[in-house]
Amino acid sequence: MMSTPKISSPVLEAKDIVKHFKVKDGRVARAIDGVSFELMPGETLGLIGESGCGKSTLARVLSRLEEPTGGTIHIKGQDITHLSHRQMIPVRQNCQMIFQDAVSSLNPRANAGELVAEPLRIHRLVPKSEIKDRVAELFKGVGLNPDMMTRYPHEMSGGQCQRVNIARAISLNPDIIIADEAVSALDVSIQAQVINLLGDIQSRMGLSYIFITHDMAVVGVISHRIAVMYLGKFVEYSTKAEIIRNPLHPYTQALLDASPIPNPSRSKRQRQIVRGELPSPISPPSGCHFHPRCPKATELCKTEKPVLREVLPGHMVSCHLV
Amino acid sequence: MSDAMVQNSPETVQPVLSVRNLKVSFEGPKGRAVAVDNISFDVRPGEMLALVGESGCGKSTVALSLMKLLASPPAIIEGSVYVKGREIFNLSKEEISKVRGKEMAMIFQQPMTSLNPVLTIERQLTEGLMLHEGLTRKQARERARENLDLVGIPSANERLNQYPHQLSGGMRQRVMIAMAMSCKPSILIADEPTTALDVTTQAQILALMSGLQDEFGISTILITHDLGVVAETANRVAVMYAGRIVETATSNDLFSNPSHPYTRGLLGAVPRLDALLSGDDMPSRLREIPGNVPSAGPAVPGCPFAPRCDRVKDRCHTQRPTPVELAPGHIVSCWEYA
Ligand SMILES: Nc1ncnc2c1ncn2[C@@H]1O[C@H](COP(=O)(O)OP(=O)(O)OP(=O)(O)O)[C@@H](O)[C@H]1O
Ligand SMILES: Nc1ncnc2c1ncn2[C@@H]1O[C@H](COP(=O)(O)OP(=O)(O)OP(=O)(O)O)[C@@H](O)[C@H]1O
Ligand code: SF4
Ligand SMILES: [Mg+2]
Ligand SMILES: [Mg+2]
Repeated sequence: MMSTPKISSPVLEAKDIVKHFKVKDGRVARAIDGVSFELMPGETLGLIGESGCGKSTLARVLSRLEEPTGGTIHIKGQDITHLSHRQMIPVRQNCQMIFQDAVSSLNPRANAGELVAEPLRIHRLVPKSEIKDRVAELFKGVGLNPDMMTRYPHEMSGGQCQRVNIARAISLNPDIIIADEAVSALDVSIQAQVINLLGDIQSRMGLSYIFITHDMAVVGVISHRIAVMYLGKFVEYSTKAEIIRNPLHPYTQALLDASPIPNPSRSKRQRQIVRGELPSPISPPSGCHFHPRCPKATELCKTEKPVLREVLPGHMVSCHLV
Repeated sequence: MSDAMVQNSPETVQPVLSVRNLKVSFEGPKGRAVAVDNISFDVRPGEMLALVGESGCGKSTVALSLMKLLASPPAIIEGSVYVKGREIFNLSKEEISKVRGKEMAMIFQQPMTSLNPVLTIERQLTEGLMLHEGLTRKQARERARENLDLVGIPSANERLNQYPHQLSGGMRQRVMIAMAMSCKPSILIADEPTTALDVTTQAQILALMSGLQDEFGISTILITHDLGVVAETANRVAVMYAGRIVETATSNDLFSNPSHPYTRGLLGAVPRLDALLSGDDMPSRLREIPGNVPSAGPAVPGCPFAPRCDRVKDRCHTQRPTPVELAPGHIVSCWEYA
């Protein structure tokens, strides 16, 4: 039977998000400087960029742990930009976060079973009598042996703690999970397990991820679309195939070039190593923020800000030369 | 690897550093935990040897014991280390500290913990030079400035007057390298020197280290958990698992013919840009190694990888695998080959 394609609407819509922090002497850090995107159901958006480019700030604003300075956020059509803490409670249920520090994200005085049951109790999603079964089911769903329920965080490995965090996050059947460097601290062999687990959960539950990382290879495996951030802006945004195989922004090219490849015959390639470091968002460079480090910069780049525009279908770039 | 095997290897050059039967354990409340379990390896002149493995496999413990920087007790250190043929574990404290100043230097993952926060960069860079080389303050400052130039720090004169917190992470790591290089050591031990840095800065620092290796013929032990970094920079690799070296090979051999089940597992589990760049589809799953990374405990009689291994046989649980040389210089400790 042929089904008519459903035109689905985004689960999350961010429009012109701005987040400024006041720093000393009345100056302002433009941590997020005009970011717009849509996150579709079942989609993973990878956010990548150097340390300090604004990835975590964007995550905190989208989940309304911080209020944006400007712009709007809609989740499933509802404007959540300025909701109060109380009004945010049901929204939080639907938009969960997972962080890098798996062990210290967990209350050290609760055991794994209690930790996974906690969100169920607080949000009263399941009758008391069924909590135990639901917790056991969640344990299995994240590949933890239910024997582990009596373990405390310090008695588990980093990978096991991250599975507990994932179980907590999915316990409320959210539509969105924002994972901020959730696999960055894990060992390679454990990282692979957790990346696959997140993929399996997505296929099973149909939820969407915003997946933050500084690792190009990780983002290339897990994402459907990738946004490359530089000083609080998206400089390139497209499908993962386009970003990895047809990178157009010199910064994306530099990130790919600098990423180490576990293959000596490939790594003897001539690499163009980008100079310098990420400038401060308090005094960003003129024109294109990347121009002082860009190997292709022209006079125009020093004075004129490029805008993010669609240069190929579904491929957005902000660079004067593209 | 036995001594006999090393002597039979085609390399006739004397290694700058030889480690024989190094064993490090820690006495704890739950008994003795073996962190480094009887490992032997050589570093040849001018080469970069990578020690690669997941967290807790004993990489830093190896580095610190080579530098004699591990407090003992609680550490119990056995075995021998030869620097240019001279055994150093039996040397006196004064003699060791000379070796440390002139022959071997170390850089750490967190430059902040090894730079003194209340001293200027100049003080930290000149002290060793005045102590070990008997330079005057003025001569030492001049050398410090040259060393900052060498590691690519612009406006060296200004930087000399600054404190560590005024520098970025990448700059601090460059200062650490300048410090390590200041006495022109023959051996540089770098423990995860780029792990805390962005890939862009990492590429700059690795290029700098390779350049120094070529220019001054320094032998480097690069400790990392990142197989990509290994492939980009190292000549030879020793793969560690649970305190043991399970496979040693040239970089080319290791990546083209990974032979230990753990090495094969790691290469399958690591997300690979090369796989994403070519081929018809882009993988969205990775191969897993089941189970968890072990932490140091009592010595196991058999192969430490046995609980996670897809090739495990009965004797893997009871007998320590003997090293086998699959090809010249490619040595594997696994019962699959013995
Ligand atoms: N509360 C704050 N007050 C002032 N500045 C802040 C604050 N939070 C973040 N910033 C600044 O905003 C910028 C973006 O920081 P953010 O933590 O979002 O970066 P990131 O991309 O997550 O970096 P990392 O990869 O290191 O986690 C940085 O320059 C940071 O110093
Ligand atoms: N002072 C100590 N006392 C007791 N155990 C220790 C001590 N130092 C290290 N260990 C143990 O020895 C083992 C090896 O630790 P080591 O720091 O050498 O690992 P590593 O390979 O450097 O790991 P990482 O990649 O996390 O830096 C670990 O299990 C660790 O817990
Ligand atoms: S010795 Fe046995 S358990 Fe160890 S890696 Fe080889 S086959 Fe696997
Ligand atoms: Mg962050
Ligand atoms: Mg270490």
